[in-house]
Amino acid sequence: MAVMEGGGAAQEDEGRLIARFADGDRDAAEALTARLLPGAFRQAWRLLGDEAEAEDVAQEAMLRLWRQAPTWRTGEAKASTWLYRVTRNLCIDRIRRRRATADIEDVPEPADPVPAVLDRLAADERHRALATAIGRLPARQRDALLLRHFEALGNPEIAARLDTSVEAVESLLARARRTLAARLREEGDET
Amino acid sequence: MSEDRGVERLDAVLASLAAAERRSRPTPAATLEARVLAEAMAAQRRAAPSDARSGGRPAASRTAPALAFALSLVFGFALGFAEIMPTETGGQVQAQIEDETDVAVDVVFGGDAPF
Repeated sequence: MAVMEGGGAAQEDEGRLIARFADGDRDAAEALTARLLPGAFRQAWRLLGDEAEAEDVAQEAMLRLWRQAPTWRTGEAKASTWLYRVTRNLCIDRIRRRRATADIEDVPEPADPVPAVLDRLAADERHRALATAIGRLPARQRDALLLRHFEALGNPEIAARLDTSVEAVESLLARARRTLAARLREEGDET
Repeated sequence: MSEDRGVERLDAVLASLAAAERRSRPTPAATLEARVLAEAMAAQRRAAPSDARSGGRPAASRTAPALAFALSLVFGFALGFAEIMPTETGGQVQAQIEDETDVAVDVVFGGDAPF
């Protein structure tokens, strides 16, 4: 099966794949799974810091896509954009449940999930400072930064994922980088 | 530290942290993909239960041509083929068929109708 990558072609193709899936096409289900599942899993893992929970979230997000497919309106939303939001919301639900059963100070604020994995990966002082600074960025700036530097997406793909314009993504990234550079400068000046 | 130097340092640390993240990134278990696909198939079966035996085309579009042919014979003999073709007559027949069969008869009178 030919699967187009990138830009408008990918968007159009996702819409067609969902329509074919809704029409009972198993190949379309396989193509959508191959294309969307790994990203949803990585996104959940990055936010939750737990592999098993990330699998549960990715599975649930995909299940919601399957259920949505028969009423999917092609052209209104890109499936990857939709799935990104659903995965994020599912992660927020998980973090909220953690807060209900844990010391509230130990768990990040659920409305604005920070990438739990980065703190754990911080091998040295510089990484720790950066991970902390990324966690403190406003949510939209952080999302754009993670998609750019950790998912290696281009600005058009980030714009589609965040449902915004390329210009807005450029602005989000520029502000995020200025903030992070300033934090690192402060940290460098202190050491 | 100058602003340029700060940005250079940021790029270096970001790249290094992203590389550490990629190295530690887990691969989803093979069973995850299998579970997701199984749920996809189940969703398809729930959406169109009668499709499972015949390749997944929607029930209406598969059964409608056969139904149309049968109905065209019935109504053809009763009314004559010349009378069933106009829109008004088609509309009446469509309403009647919908009453009796609950089938989406716009497909019956579409381009694939066999009369």
